[in-house]
Amino acid sequence: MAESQPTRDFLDLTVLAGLAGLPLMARRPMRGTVSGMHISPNRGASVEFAEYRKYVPGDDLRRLDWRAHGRTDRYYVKEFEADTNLRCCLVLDTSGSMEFGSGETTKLQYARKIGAAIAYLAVQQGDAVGLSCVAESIREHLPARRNPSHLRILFDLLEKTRGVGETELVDVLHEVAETTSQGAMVIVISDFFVEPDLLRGCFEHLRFRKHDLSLFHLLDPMELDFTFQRPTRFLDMEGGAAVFAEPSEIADRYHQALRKYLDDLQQIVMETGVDYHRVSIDQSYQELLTNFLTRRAMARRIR
Amino acid sequence: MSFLQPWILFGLPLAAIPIIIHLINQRRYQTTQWAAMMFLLAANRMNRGYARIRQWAILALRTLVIAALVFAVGRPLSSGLLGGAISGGGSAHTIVLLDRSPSMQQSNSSAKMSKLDSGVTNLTETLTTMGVGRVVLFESNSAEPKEAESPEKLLDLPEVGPSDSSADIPSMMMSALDYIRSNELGQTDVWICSDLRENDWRAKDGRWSSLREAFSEFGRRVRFRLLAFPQDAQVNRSVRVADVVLSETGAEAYVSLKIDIKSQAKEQNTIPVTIEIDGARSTTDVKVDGTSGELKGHRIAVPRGQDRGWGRVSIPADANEADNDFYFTFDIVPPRHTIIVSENPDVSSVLKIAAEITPDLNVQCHAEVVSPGAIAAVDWPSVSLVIWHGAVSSDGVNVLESLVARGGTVIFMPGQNGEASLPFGIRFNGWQEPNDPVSAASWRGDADLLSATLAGASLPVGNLKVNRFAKLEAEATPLATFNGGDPLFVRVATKTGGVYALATTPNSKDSSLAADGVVLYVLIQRALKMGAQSLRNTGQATAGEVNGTVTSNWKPIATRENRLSTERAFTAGVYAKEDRWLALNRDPLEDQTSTVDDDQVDTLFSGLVFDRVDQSAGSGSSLVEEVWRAFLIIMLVAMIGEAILCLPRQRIDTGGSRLKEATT
Repeated sequence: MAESQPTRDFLDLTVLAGLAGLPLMARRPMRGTVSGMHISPNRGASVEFAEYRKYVPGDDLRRLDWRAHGRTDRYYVKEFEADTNLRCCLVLDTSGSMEFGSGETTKLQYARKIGAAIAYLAVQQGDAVGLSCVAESIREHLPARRNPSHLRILFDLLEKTRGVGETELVDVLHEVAETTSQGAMVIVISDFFVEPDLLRGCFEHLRFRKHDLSLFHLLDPMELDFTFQRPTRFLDMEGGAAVFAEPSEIADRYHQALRKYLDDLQQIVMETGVDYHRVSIDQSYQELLTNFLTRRAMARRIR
Repeated sequence: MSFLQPWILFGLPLAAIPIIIHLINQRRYQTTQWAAMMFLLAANRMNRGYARIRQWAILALRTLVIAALVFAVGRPLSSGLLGGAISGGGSAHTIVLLDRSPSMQQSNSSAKMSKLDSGVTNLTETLTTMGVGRVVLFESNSAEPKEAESPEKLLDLPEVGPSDSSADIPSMMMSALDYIRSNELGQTDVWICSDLRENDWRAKDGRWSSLREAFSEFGRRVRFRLLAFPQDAQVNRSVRVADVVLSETGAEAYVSLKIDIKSQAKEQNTIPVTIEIDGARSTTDVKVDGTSGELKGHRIAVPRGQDRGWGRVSIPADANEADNDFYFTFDIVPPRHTIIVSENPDVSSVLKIAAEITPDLNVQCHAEVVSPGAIAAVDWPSVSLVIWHGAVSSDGVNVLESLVARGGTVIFMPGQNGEASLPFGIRFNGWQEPNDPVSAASWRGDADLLSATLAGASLPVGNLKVNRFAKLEAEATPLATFNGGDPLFVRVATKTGGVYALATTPNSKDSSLAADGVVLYVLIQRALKMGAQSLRNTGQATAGEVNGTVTSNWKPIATRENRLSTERAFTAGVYAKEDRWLALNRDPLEDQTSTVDDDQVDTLFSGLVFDRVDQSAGSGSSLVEEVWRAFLIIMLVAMIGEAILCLPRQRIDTGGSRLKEATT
């Protein structure tokens, strides 16, 4: 008798069905383990012509291009693209701030949905997916695997993980950059409550390691609007000092600080070439992921 | 700041309501878990000072709104220099002391409103604003109070108009004091409206100390408020006729005038003076160099045979019209006739010489020596001065009493035995013969027959040597006394005329009066001039110094218009009193501009509840004004300011449609 699948509230089959037609593509050549649908930085035996190269003794003569010889009286061999599979590394922020949610869902719940959907799509198209739950350090780590049973383990991990502790995202991302083999797709899902200037180093490190970095920046509507009416005592969800504030008096300065942060972050992600998606968690994640996947597919076709 | 409803100010603590609400609001805080602490902390660090100032400014403006409303409801008064002296409306009783002297008619060149008019108008409006009811008026011409049912009725009283008589402020204060005591008044405000002229205030008068003492007994029950009109720099000149003589020479008759002009400010100018005599006008110029100018011996022809007349001099209009004209009368100066009753030629000869030497060529002086038994033959109606040496018979008493009643002068001297009972309560009680000649230790140099000259030089009374003198007994004012207090020269107070007694004689055995000469001559000539006034058909008097009841039957020949007939005694002009013409003019001291300075005023009212506000002529507005509108405007401005500060800052759009742009 087949074991019944547990119901996961972060998995919406309707959404997954709606995303099924969209491939998860990388923006840069990936270093996979098997042949797949993604471009490899190496040359291989696919049908897609890549480039001409001068013949050197030892090359396979079957790859000589006689027409080119007839035109130029020189010997050239054809190079073909090598296709490989994708290694998708999900980095999920599980610090205390991710448990915040002013509406029906928290940032962590929203992050679970995004992570689960991407993981499902990756495995469906034969790519490998892994998961790292991070806060002050990498708490949980699942290496990237292609098999469906690995997906279940990943979902289990997503389900049990909780947001607690402080955020040390900068150190964690540096560690992820270094410990993840080169040429992977790294997707970070977090609220990124870190000074933008510190994140620049992380992004550049990941880029140096030839990873395709994507960011899902999750923010709660209340964090964006700050529409408190009464004097409020704000308790830090990551254990810091409480702050007492008169919202009517501090709102404009809060928004000023938030705007500066978002502008600085936007500037950094543009300069570092990061695939950046800022989202308010009251919006549909299907729409977010559709946009994410479509843009990557379009970019791949243009190439 | 003072208020008509000060009890409303008990509501001022309501202004703390915004602060209390703020504090309560602070306490009603909620607690929430929060993730985006980094922005909150950054906001806290950002512009903290300005935010705090803004918060306090909002609280302050809200408090100001309520405070301004409370103040406005309390009906505040802008009492300016009166400070907080006026509060709670007017006192139960209000007395006004009004200075109507000529100097109060000085006006402001722009407003054309005199100090008197301004003062009365200001007072009326102020008292009306304060809600005062009945007002009691003491004006400078009368000690009788006049009552007005309301402050507005003050303007209708004829007794608030101008007058040519000087004021006597201490006397007016005395009248107010008597009124308060006799009517047993409670809380009383005494308003004084004056321009602080020294002549009116008499700061050195001994009555002030008595007044202070008397009013201080009332404590805070009586409050003094001085509405002062200090001297201002307006151009003002005054004109006065110092002397007028009617003369006839040959076929001509003329009036000779001496005209004095005083200027308040130094100037070099030529002032046209208009002289009107019996309706005929002429103009002449008088040069003013510095602060005064004079025209001496200006002759104006008159019909020959005219034995008397009247005239007026006037100068162009300036800041004060009250001193721009002067009335005068003139007549033929009768000879000054002196009768010396004596049987001692040593005495009578000296006296005759002294009486006959005329000081003025225009004046004839005759002296006649008669014995006591021959007085019946004297033409007494033409006599100006009698010098009686020795005892007086009963006939002599009648004659002398008639002479004095008519206005003549008599000087008594002791006879041979040094003892005599004389009329008017005078008695000589025998000769005193000191071992050494004695001199006068003190004498009255400020007034009467022994006063100093116009130039200020005192008579050499102290140089006289008296070998013997008669002991004088009389209810009289001593004009000169010896060491030890025995009188040398006295004056007995009479309603008319002058009665004097000299304790020695000009006999060389008795004194050096004849040898020194000056004192005797001046004394006799002054007495003679004084007595001669009673023989003239015309006269000069000072407004306010003539009995008001006497003037009721005077007929005005020339006087100011629009003045009450009951105030003739205080109005300049020429009046006919029976067969005598009298020119009434302002007091010479009114032409002096000296004022009581601020320190003196404070001293005069020391120990009393006293406030002062200075005004200027032409200011016809109330001294106090309700300014609740100002507080409503403050309230409105505060509310607008609070609304502006509370406007939400322009929200930085960090959500919504811009999210879709936040991808790369």
